[in-house]
Amino acid sequence: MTDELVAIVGTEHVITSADRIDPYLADITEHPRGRADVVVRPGSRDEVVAVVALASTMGLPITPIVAGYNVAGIAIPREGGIVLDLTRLQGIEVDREAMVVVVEPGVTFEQLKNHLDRECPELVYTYPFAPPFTSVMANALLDGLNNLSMRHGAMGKWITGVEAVLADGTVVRTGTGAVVDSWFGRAPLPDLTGLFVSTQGTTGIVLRAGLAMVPRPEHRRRWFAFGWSLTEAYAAMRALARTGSFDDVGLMTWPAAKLLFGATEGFARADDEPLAFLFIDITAASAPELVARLQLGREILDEAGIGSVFEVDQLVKMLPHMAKLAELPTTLDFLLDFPGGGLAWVGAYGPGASWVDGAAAGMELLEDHGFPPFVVARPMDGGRYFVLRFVACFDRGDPSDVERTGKCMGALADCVLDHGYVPYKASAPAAERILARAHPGFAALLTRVRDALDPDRRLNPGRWPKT
Amino acid sequence: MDPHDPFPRRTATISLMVPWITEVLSTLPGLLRSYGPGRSLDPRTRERIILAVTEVNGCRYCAWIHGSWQEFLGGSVQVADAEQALVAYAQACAEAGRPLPADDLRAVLPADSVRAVRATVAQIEVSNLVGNTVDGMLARLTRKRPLSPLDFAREAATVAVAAPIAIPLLATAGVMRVTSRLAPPLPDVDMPPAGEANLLAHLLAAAAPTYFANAVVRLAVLGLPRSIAVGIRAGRTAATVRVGRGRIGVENGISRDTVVVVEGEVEPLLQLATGSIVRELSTVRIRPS
Repeated sequence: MTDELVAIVGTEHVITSADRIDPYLADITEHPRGRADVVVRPGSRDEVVAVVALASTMGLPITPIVAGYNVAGIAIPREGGIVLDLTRLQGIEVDREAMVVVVEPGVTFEQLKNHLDRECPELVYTYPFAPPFTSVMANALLDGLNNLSMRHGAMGKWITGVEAVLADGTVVRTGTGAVVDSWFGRAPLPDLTGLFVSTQGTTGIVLRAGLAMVPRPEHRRRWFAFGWSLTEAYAAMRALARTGSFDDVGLMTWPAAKLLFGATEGFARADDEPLAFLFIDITAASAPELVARLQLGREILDEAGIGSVFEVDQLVKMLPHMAKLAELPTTLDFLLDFPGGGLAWVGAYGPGASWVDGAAAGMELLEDHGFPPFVVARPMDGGRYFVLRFVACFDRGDPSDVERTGKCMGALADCVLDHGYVPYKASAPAAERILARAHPGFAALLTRVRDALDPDRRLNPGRWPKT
Repeated sequence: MDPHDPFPRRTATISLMVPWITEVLSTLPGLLRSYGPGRSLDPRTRERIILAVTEVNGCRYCAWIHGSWQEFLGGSVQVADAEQALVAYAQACAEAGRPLPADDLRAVLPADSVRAVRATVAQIEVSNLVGNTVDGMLARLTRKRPLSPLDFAREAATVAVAAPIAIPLLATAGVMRVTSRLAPPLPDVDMPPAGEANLLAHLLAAAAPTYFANAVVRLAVLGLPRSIAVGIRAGRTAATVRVGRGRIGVENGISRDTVVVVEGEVEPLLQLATGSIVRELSTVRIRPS
């Protein structure tokens, strides 16, 4: 096998030594180490197709990976075979008129931002709370959430079409790019793009994807505000989202601030400390529009009982090292600095009606398992649904801490499902829980889709188990 | 510069001064506002711009005065990305020897701040040229440069006009330099464990290097013979800052021994802390404990 792979990608891009394969067998989460026979680093789409075709001939499993920071163990190889490291595929093509960018899997958020700033500063993409070295395409294909998801929904919705290679080496296309020379959208064709969204690489290896962009706003402000109860915070998020006038409203509970300032243990909320911090992004095409939106925002926050609204820029003036909180992409890199380097979460999308109860129940579960009650939340898609993400930092080197984290994440997955929320970027155990509660027809349809596209279950094995 | 003149620095000639004086006059309101309340240019940024221009022109008097000023103000030596653009603009102007279009700055700065940057560059250019003229005269007197009586007279006149401004500035810089030397260094901040300190306590501790950067503040406050406690209530959250005897401490809540409590919403307190003093004083209450 190695000789054939070398013939495709070259010697330096085929990794067979155990010490160089090792970093691909685990990630920052509590999920167990995997196994792999070889890591291949193709440098072009043609090379990816050739590797997949070879794996098909030889019946080998393939696990695709870029940064491996999905925080759900999704890129850990479970059944040996080939790890397909796609970081070298870094093509970016911008269609300025259609406001679409076509990216290859290795393009990172940092690269895309720099490219857009340089080549077409009138357009922007949308950014997650993720490290800048993570994959734009993986984030979209896994239906993540970004800073414009409150307005426009989960990232799968931003995909305008894909080119993918199926398990047997067949190259397919979806969206308008399959028919004409522009990936402007998914309509009006049969929407096959969804076959590759949230399926976690089990239906095909996506070679490139069209992604929608938006015009860069002329004016931008970011506020922080303090919420003293979940009810107040929810009321504010709901009201702000429903106006359609704000780019983003997010929430983090009090442990986030302690982690930001370097706390690693002994988390305790002081009596006079806010329960949650809201961040609110306001943009506008003109100064009068901005003034009107700022005024509307103040009124809504006042009405919801949210106090202490202030501009992040003011905070940055006093604390210049906090500049990262005012910038896009905003990264929560302090989460990766936790001793032991472990980071796990259960994130879920669900209805606003059960957000407060779901958040309270999940926070209680975190505390029951010895974690501070760290929640990240956001309204999505104009407020049609909401995010609940429960975050835990832990020591990956301590088996008991890993076990505690795994139990907590399992309990949280049950908890969110109990409250009508569905985990996104679901880990294998969370996916099992989803399928156990799903309409039987959903699991049957997913099984039939996978039977059609990858009957031997060789693509990213172990995901969406039992389908 | 005259290629035959062995003096290597630009001095105050009419042709070099006119563009800068014109620039100073056209941006004078911006210059005045940049020193006033709600200023459009942070003093530390202003000093960085000034020193960047001075480095290009090689004026040792301005370098000493503004080096003293920068040391007095204190603060981070790290230059933020946004400041890099300002410094680059200032250096480009200095190298060109004339004001350059500030179009690139307009893309990243409000109009008021752009005017303040242009004004700052222009006024320090004038100062640099005058300072270099003093050295040019000294070079003539020490025969390192042709005496050239007419040029000497012109330079002497320039220096005489500038002296009433320059001498007090040099004296002030001397005082600032002495103050900086006398002020105690910034100590580590004593505070509760990171997991227990409330957000305000964390913010105050993190802001200590900014608050206490100024040498006079360090000298006056940290040099107190006994510790005093000041309560801060921002919105619903409170913390106490304890200063004196060379130490700084921050704790959750309002301590019983506070001598004064500053109360206000977070935003006005932040603005107060970052310099918009006059505008925000009306929304902040200061009361004895």
